[in-house]
Amino acid sequence: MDTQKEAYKVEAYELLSELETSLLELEASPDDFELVDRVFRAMHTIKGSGAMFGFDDIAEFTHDVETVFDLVRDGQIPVSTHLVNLALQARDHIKLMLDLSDQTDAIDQNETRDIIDAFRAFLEDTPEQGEDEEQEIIALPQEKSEKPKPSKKDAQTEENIYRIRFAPHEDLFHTGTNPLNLLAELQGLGHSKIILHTERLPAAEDYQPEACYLYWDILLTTEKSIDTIKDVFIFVEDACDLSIEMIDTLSDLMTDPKNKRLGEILVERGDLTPDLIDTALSGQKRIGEILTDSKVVSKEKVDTALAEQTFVQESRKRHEQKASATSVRVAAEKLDTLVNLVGELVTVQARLSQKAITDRDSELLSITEVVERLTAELRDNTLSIRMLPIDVSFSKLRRLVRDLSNELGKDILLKTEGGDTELDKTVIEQLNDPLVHILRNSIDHGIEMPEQRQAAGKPEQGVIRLKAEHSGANVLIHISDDGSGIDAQTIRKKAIEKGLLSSEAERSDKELLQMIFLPGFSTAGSVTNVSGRGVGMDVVKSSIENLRGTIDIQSQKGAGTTITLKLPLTLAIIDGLLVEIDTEKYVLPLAAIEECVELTQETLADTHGRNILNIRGEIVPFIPLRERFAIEGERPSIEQVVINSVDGQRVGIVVDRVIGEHQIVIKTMNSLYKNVEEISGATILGDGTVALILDIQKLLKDISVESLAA
Amino acid sequence: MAIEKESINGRLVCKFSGDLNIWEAGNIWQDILPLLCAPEPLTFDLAEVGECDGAGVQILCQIQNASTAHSKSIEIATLSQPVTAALQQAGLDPNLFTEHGEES
Repeated sequence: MDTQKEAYKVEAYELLSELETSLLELEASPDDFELVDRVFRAMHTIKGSGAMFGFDDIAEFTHDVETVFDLVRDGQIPVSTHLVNLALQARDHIKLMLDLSDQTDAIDQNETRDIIDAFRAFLEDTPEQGEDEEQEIIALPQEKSEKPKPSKKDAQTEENIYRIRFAPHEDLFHTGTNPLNLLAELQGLGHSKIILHTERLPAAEDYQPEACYLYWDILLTTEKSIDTIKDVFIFVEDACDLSIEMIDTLSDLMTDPKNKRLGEILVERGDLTPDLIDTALSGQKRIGEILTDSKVVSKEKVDTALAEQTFVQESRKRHEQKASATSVRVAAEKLDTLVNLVGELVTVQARLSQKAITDRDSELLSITEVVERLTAELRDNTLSIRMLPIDVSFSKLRRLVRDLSNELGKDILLKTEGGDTELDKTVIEQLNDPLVHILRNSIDHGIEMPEQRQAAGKPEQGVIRLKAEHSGANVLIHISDDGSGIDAQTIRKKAIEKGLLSSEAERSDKELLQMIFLPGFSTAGSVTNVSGRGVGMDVVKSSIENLRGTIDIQSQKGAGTTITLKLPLTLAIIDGLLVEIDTEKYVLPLAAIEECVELTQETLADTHGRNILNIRGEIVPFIPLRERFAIEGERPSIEQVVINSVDGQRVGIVVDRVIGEHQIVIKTMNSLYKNVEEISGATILGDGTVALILDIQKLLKDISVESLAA
Repeated sequence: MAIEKESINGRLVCKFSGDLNIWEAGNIWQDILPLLCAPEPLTFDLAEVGECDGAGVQILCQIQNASTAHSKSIEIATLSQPVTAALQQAGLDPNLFTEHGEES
């Protein structure tokens, strides 16, 4: 049962996330009934499954929200900002109930009651609900005891097609029952086709408006059991004739591709005998026309049989589409294990290739070539499984922008682009906090108040754009706003005040803007509870760097700011340049490398110990790795300088030899090495030796700070 | 439920306002029946109808039947949102229902 509860929680969290997105979209498009349906369905599933898996408090709480959205579906309650606000509040409360499902006492019952009361107020304010609705609200507490107990049948996953004939007795209306509500409830169980029969209506003169003459045939495709369908009619079973038949299971339908013919359906339903069909078939016309013309069955009955035939055909088509889009839910840990195993396999495959080359065994070489190709395919496929669209992250930000702009009295529109761009799951998970921070800054300090914007000749509504795009093995995320921008000279002033820059130092605007990523730096005139304490952008930068990404900022005073994040597609495997110092091997991430140049003893002597190189007229500082890591041994006469570009700065790393490009499977370091900042991980090479992966950003940190403060 | 009647170009336009439900069905039918039996062509304007339930849908079906039975020109013009929703729930296509009219 615990596993089932966990499964429910996972599904409910996903539904809540979808719900939030739908509600925010609904606020922007209140007339979109598809969105209202989506909200209703999410609430309906959270409630229904909640009751089934023992989350009775959630089911009870969600009931009123669902009822209100059912009335929104019926057009009885309009979509308003108040309703969306309340629904978002309810969504947050359900999430809290899920988070604290093991400690239900921690839930503030007053808040629960307040939200329920607010939703009930909608029901009371709905004039169309009349006495019926009042009875429904009063009857709510009873519902718990009447709730159908979950049965194995309820959990069945196979879809069946049911034919339901619901023929109310003439006195059904006298009980105050509205048959349309029952039909709506049936529609909630699955895909349905409702066919109304009016042939029992008498002539106008004999018509009794309080008598019910209508009856219905309902075709329903659902995973629910026949008992669940019967439960819909539980309160009217004495006031109607009801027949429920399973006419097909979709699995049977798929194995038997033949659609039922019209005559077969009519005979099966008892509307015709096989003999009458045979007689009618002797004609030349289509069967439907023959039967109608022969007056053995009414046109209405033929039409409903045709509707049934079409419904079954459509159900088959939908089932086929569904089958082709079937997905499997897999625990993230299992995926991580799979990626690790593929990593091991890549390493072993590299060793095997190495062995084949060393032994000059041509047969083994041809086998290793095939293994190498298959391993590469397996690796790419495995990594692609972990990829998620970045819209997962963007959706969460829509709520942030909405709530924060409301709080600050600003009018801000969030536009997203490239939400289908995929990134590794781990990258997406760790990207959320930095993105939140950047957006909070944009909303609080970037976008001006409406009156200020108007005075500056801008539209009152500010715009924040989130755009994701591929760039080689990286993904670029641009966060831009059309706000007030950052004044480089204000940064300069603050930097001098804080002693981070001497008053004589000359810096370009680009260099000055980079200073906002220094710890404790803030240009905000005032500290708010949103941002401005200067704690943040340095953390954002280090978070992005931990993801082996980079951050860049461009801003123009009065026009806005754009922050660009450059992130690797995956964290598990990178392209690296394998280098050697003495017998030690290191890996430099290829993404930051621009070129390699030679460093001769003569050139080195010309630098007079200042560790700078003149490369085509540009002065580039370098770090001799041998000295940095205190590696003993003799320096070769010609060393190699690997030029990296970090944060717009070019810096060289001096090594003995460059071995070549390699796909590197990253292994995390033991916690004993957690304080070794310059190393971000390790990898096992083909010959079984270990190579350390250098963290260029960390390696250059000292140089950057020194050079900026100079 | 109130019915406001107005003769326009030889048609009697009946504008409904209020609920079209079981509680009102008796009164509404009492008002409608003589109109259905009269020779004058009819237009029913349902743009201002509030709640509409199964009994309301049944009256609309009866109006349609009367149109066929008496070979009388009866149009249902505009539908309010609750009427549209009720027709859909009953399994009817509101657009086909208002052959001559538009949905509000």
